[in-house]
Amino acid sequence: MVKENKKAVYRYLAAYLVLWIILFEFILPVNNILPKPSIVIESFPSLVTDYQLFPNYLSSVAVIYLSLFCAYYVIFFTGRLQGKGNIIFKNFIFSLEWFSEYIPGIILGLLLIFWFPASEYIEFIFAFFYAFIPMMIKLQKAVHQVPDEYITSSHSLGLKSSYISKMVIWKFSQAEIFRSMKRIHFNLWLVLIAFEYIKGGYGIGNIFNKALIYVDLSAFFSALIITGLSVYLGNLALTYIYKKTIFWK
Amino acid sequence: MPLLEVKNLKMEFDLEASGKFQLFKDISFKIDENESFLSILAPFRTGKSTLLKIIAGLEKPSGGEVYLNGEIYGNPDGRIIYIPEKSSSLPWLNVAENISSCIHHTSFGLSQNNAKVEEIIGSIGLNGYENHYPDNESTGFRFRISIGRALALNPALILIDDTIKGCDNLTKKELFDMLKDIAVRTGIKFIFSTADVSAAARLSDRIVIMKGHPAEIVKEFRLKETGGINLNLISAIGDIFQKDKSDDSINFII
Repeated sequence: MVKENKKAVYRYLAAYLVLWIILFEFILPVNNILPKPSIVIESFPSLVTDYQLFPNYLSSVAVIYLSLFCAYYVIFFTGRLQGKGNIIFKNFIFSLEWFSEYIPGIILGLLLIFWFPASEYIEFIFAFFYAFIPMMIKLQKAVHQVPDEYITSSHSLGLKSSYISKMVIWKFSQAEIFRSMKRIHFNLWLVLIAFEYIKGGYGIGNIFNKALIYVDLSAFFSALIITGLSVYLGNLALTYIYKKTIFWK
Repeated sequence: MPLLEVKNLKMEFDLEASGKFQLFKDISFKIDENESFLSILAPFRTGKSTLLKIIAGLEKPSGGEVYLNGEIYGNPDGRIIYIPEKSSSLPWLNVAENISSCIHHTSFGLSQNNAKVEEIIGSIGLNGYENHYPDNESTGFRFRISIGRALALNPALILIDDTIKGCDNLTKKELFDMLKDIAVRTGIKFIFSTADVSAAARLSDRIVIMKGHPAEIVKEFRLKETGGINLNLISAIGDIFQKDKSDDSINFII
């Protein structure tokens, strides 16, 4: 069923591509809605030279994946130690979740962008917290959803509390965290591009900013394709890691 | 001296809406040396699971005591193991890891080795399945792992909380044969809670019947005295439950 859905999505994507090529390359005149496919292809070299694609792209990718990796490993070590968790910390995390239920995360992210000064390190710290907080919320929720039979039987079998934290509570929570990883990954791209767009400095967001200032639709469109492909490849990598790590699901 | 003696156990809860709620009261029974299997037959919501958790030292009763070999048993120490109704084998560990975790990571200070794991895997009939993961397997398979985890601690008593109710009759028979074999070889005794008359009668030396609100023990049947499972036994149990039409969760299908 999932395979069928994927096939259908790929078929639709191919249809959109063919439609774009036929309509915007051969039928419609040059316009401000979508650029001609040939112009988009021609704009890639200028993206490299005029917009400094490589340093900008590498900067965004490094910040996103490094922050995602660091946030996960902080969760990995604290999650294995904390067991059922400290009540003050738990309530703090749930209060953040309460905010996120009524104010979209992207708005909170934009607010934080205004608070932070522009710098590569600050961008990393900002991305780290943007990845860390939803993971911590997920962990706190998952800790309280561990099936009672796992805990009861572990106590009956006299398993050490450190073992229960590490091999029962954390293992169950890890699966829940990984399940939300694609959403966190997508949001991270979103806010990072917004951060770079607003603050300047290196990053894909900076390319979007310049392309809009120069009203360069083809460069904007090329950067959009590169971002979409990057998110897609990132998701593929996360799915692969999920299948390897959470192999029992 | 009986291996286990349960004396006047009662369990009450304070409910916000309706005040005090008594789940069961005056529960007393023993497991004698010559008995291997005791079944607690009761409808749903009579507190079978709570009773087993109290016996295992996992919950505190509102009153009464549990004695193991004449001493009060209040906290889990590996001599009584409770197997919950839902599968408790950890899905991220394979069969061998599930069992060895109970040898190497228990706080009861066991000194055993991997040879013990192989021996247990053999006794639960999972030779060749050491690397299989529980979530890909049947309820019966997962129950075998739960028994294997319990055997790792060499307990005196294993409490089974209606774990195999989802199994078909053939699987149940295989599992009962396995339990009987373990009981003969190791001397471990079992308490089995169920709402299934057939399962209770096929497995047990004695059936203790609980019913009512609050639940009480209303009758005991020694299978040696009744001549095993037969129509007289089934109709006698049927009579007990038919007096109270609300107790319709008892399964009489043989």
